[in-house]
Amino acid sequence: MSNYLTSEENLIRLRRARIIYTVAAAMAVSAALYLLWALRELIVPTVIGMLMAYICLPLIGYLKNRGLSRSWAVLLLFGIFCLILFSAIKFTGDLIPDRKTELELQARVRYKLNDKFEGIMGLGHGGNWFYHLFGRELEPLRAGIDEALRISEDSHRLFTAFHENSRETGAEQVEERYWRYHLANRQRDLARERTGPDHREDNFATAEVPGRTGAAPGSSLLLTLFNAVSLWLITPLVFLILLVDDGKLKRELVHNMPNRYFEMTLTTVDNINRALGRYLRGTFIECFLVGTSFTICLFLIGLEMQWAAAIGIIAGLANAIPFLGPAIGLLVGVLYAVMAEEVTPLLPFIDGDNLLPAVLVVVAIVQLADNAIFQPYVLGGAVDLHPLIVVFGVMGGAVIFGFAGMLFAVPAIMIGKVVITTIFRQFRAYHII
Amino acid sequence: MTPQKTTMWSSFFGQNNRKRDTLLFLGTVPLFASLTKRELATVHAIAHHRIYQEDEFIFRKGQPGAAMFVVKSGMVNIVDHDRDNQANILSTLDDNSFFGELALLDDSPRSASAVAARSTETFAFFRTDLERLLNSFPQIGHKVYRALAMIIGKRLKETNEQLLNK
Repeated sequence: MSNYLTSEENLIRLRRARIIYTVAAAMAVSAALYLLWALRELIVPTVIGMLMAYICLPLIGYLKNRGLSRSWAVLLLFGIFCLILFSAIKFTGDLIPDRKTELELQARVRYKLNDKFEGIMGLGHGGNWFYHLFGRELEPLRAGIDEALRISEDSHRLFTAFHENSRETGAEQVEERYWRYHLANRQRDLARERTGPDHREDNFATAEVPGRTGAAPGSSLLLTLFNAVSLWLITPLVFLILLVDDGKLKRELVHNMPNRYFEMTLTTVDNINRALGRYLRGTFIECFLVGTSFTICLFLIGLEMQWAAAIGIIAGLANAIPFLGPAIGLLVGVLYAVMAEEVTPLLPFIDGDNLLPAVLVVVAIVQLADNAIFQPYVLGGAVDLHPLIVVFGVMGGAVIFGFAGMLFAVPAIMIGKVVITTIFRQFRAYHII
Repeated sequence: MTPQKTTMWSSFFGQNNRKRDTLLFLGTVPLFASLTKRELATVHAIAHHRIYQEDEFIFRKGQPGAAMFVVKSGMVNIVDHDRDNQANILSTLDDNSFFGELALLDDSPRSASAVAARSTETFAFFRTDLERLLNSFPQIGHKVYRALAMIIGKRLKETNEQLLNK
């Protein structure tokens, strides 16, 4: 049609088209950003579904090579994925304590923490050399954690009601030793109140979560779990859709590219696909190996399988965060070692007294194996980010999206880096810039 | 091309008709001539349909080669520009011909440019997709690469003869 227009009219038409395209693009970007913000709770489940589908794609090829049709291969993987996802949700649900167990745990951790601190510092005999050397620096940290674990007066009343197995709550009786821990904690508080002025009644950890106090603590927990589970329903759906897609998304993207950029787009998408695949699959396998190593080693030194697996999963997941990951694994392991009461180690020389050093040794062994074997073997040179970028990225991710942000910050930066460097390399190769 | 009547059924099954036409066409291309119907359907899944206007470059000399093109309809000139930027037509290709096949072997720069001499419909095959096909379906890969080797050999022989006759 443009053939019937004069060159001046053509110029006006082009200018008009440019304005319309720019406005449409700006509106689309704004709408996308708004949707991203409005649906931010769905981001993590969606991203996990996408990542898992991406990681599993080569398995489809493997199963097809083994004689299975694509549909059966997808169905098989989907079944396995659903099984793992729902087992993970159930496992996590089992680990989430109810109000009574939460209070018991709070009292237990607080008591054990103070007890271990006093033991390590030799406070019973006026403090040892370690206390005199580092005590002043460590005391505020201990006091901070202690304050965070304090059970408020309201919670104390609830705990007392639980303990007395009152008819109103109908709850199980609190285990006697945890009640004793709680009483010991309160006595320590009273002693501190008499001796020191730094006592505060309210703190963030003991503040009541709305809807969690009162007569029916279990119902709110179920509601929370239901909300979380309903959000996570999108994960298997995304997984299935992407596996069924069979590269249609990529083909649609390439199809819409102008002819001039056709070959360049094919090469760019392929290069990005390769680099990301190597990185994401490598990271997944590395995290899996670290988590499994943690679970086995912690089980060997006497942790219950349930807790060894939970700590293994946390340490494995956190391992995706460079620098901070091992620290999180260490922290969780140490926390458990501090509050552990009964250990049934498979190794004869480990008991409750040397569990803490044993956990430290486990963390050191797993980190050594990760650095010396897993990373070089599985990841190769796939991760190449400046430490400063990693630290800022992880902190930024934590500020915006919390723990999920920390976890996905480095993969997101890696994706951005691979996409940008590949695009620019191809732009130069095809003489576009 | 004769315009096709649009019916309710063609709206529903238009895609399948297009696919059937493409499969029939791919079966006539020398590179895929030895493939069975089922194998052709697998190859069809990695074909990219592209339409070029008259005088539009399909690829330029010196760019990294990533795909081979098969002409479904239209005409393509393989050209080389001399020092004065004058285009020398090296060959002209029409329906069922293919070009850019060396890109299937590696990503070395294109040795000449390809320009659509008139409105041209092509199917492009990306090197990596074909490599994956080779891994997943070795029997298809074997037939395609064997045909490719024979065609390249034949073209080389023809070029040698032309050089000797000069």
